[in-house]
Amino acid sequence: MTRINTPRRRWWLLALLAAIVGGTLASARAADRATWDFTLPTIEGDRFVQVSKLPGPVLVNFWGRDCPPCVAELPLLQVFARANRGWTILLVCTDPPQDARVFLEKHNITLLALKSGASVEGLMRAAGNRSGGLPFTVVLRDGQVCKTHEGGLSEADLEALRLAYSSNEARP
Amino acid sequence: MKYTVFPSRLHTIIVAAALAVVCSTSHAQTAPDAPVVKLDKFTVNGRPSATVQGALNDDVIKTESLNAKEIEETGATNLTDLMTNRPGIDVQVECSVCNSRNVTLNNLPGRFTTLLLDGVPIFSSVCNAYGLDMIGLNGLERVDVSRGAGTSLIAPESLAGTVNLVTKRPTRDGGELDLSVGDDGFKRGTFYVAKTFKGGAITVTGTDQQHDSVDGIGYGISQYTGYDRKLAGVGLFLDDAGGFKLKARYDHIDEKRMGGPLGDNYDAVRADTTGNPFDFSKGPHGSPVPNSWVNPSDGTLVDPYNDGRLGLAQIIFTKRDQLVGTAERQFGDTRLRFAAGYAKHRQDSWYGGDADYFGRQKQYYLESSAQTKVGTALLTAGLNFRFEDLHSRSISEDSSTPTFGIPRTDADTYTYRTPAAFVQGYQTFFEQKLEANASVRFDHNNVYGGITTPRLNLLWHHSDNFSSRFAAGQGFRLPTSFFELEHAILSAPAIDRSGAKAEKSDNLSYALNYATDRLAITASINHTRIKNLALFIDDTASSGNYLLLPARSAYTVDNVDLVGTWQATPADSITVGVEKYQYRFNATDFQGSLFARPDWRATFAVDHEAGPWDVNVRATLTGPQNLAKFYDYADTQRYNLDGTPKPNQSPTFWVVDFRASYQWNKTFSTYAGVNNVFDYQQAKKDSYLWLDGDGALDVTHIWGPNIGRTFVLGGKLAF
Repeated sequence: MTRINTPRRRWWLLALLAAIVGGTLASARAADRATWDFTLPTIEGDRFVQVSKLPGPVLVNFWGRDCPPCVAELPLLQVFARANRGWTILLVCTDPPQDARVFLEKHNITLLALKSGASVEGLMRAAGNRSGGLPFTVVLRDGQVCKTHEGGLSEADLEALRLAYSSNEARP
Repeated sequence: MKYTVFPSRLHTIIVAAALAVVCSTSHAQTAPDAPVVKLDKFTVNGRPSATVQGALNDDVIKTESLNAKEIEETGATNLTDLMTNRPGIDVQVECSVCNSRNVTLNNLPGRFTTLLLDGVPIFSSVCNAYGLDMIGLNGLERVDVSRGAGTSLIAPESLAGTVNLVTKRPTRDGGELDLSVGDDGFKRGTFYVAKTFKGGAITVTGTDQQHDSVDGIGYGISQYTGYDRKLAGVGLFLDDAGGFKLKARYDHIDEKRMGGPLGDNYDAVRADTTGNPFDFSKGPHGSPVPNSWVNPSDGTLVDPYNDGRLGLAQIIFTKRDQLVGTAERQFGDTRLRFAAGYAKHRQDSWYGGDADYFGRQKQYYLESSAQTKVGTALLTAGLNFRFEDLHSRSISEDSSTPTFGIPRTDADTYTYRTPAAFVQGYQTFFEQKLEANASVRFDHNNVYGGITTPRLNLLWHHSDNFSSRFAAGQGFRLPTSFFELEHAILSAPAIDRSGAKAEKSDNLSYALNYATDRLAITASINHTRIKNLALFIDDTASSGNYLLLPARSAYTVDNVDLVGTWQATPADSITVGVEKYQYRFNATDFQGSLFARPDWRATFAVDHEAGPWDVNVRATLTGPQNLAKFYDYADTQRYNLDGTPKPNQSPTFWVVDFRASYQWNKTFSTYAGVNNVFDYQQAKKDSYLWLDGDGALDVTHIWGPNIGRTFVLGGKLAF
């Protein structure tokens, strides 16, 4: 019996093939999960920042203007940055860059702010935040996730993150 | 006549799968994963939230989400502007004179798209005819789009998919004032004020917008309809109203529009009923004389046009009030949700040569549902009730009809009462890598009887970068007799609806998504088959009536699309999209009631964001459209005003839009835009006006842009 390969059937076969290829590629990439790295542009649009190339401890904070705990912890992060000069604090803005830029200016936040890129949820998911909830904070050492924190940060939480980095650093 | 939709093979499969997932919720010990219970959390507004973990436990499962940034970048002033020229999403203009527009998903007819406001279905075919242009974007957090019938639990009537407008809950005091001017008398002012207080917030919004009617050819007949549109709204948000989180909004809409003759002197046009103010010799394949056109049947000139400006005018005054509200409360692992909606829609209209028509519609919506953790799954069950009625006064202005000059009441009236019950199960498997959502709705309409629509969604997180989504489901729509769907129904003594059936769709879709920090790609494939598409059949020669009947065969659309966005430089991102469509239908069975859609489209966009600058260029290349098939030339050949046949296929064309904004300081920004940069207008290639074989004139030969290049300048204060 001759089977007619209709355009409709071809499309579905194509989709199935794409799923298989996608799944295979995905599995291959899953092996790289030990490191967490990304490259995002600044909200000024003047350069890319690759997080794994930053020296010393790095704290990445995902935030949005309409998220009250995010807004509340921004001044704490700025104080933390001043008190811990060796740290790099990155704000990944989930708002439109222009809105984020104006918001940070209004609140006198001078931390380095990044655009959210093509898949901010994927970035958070890769660091363990599957739900994509905000705020979300990640502490990195040499591209490795030391500690994460979901939800608003207090001064004590920041101190705990700092200590987590230090204890991680102390390990052989 | 009561009608029950009997299960098809797809229906049976989906019901079985849906019941399997729903039933699995009662076997907690066998389910492997802990649930993702929906907490009161803040979520990211960016792309591609359609694939975030937990996306399938929403009531409306979005396939695309347009956030505030994308809304602003387009410079869109209303929902239809926003939805134009997006991969898999577009807007179909359905009348060159009145500019009735609908949102098309996967290039399916626009009236099959269900519109929700904060998850509440409070729009009907009556308000959709002109109302989509009146849906402002002020105060919205985002617009969620669900392509495919299989995507939404609470959208009751969804053949092609759902568009859900989500109101922004302000978290701080603020306001915006946005003023702009442009070509063709465009003026627009909008404001948004938000005041927060302990445990809540209130918002006030307003829009005042005008645009002249535009004739790019010189007929004296518009292709773009002029309007004067006013919108006002109030929003109320309470975090703890008796333990419930409350979100409510009230909107008032007041619009006047007129197409056909130019200008906005409605009274003067209504009084102008003799003579010829138009020039039918203008434009491509124009008539050899200004006041008449060629009868294609014999090559002679028809009698000179003598119906004045009113003869080709469509004047529509719309007033609408709508109130929607939702209330949610969490009791441990159980979330209670109540939703209510009310809309009152008034349309006073004068269709020169057809009818004067005054319609009044009311809609109510009530819903209660509970979502609870059952073992390791989430189970949602609920009830809703929809009421929709239409009453009208009308008088036929067509002297050739038996109803000419006779005042009539409720010529197209209908009343729908539709209680419904729905249940949805949500479960994750393989350490939350696979999410499954299955739902079943049962709606019982007082006219069309019981309708069961199952839906199944699977989301597979292959990795942090790869995910794929499969959806299968059915949707339905209750056809209405609203005269805008077929002006001629008012010319018949009655409409016989005894043979009508609910329209039903079967939908399958699959999407593969890949996203990294700088690159996001989504490929999708969709199949939709619509059965029982409702048609008005002119049976005046036999029974004397118009018949509302289902089409004899199905209308099927298959499509594939691929969209990719790449952050090329720190300041520049590039988006490329391609989509290909295949339409399968018997043209004779649809009698030219479908609107032409393209065989393929490609979209390109460059967004430049650097410091205070935000510059966007968007280009859409639209492929050819099979006009001969969509407009059923085989049964009704279409002709130009010079008597030559209309082309069988439309040309491929570009539309390019440009917009730039500059932020001067913390509060003030300015912007400028050029729409349709290369001034491509259908009417310069192929007139919207067409003749049937006997020389009768119509205005619905539509395939391309109805307005040329326009400029807009504006300033925005945000505080």
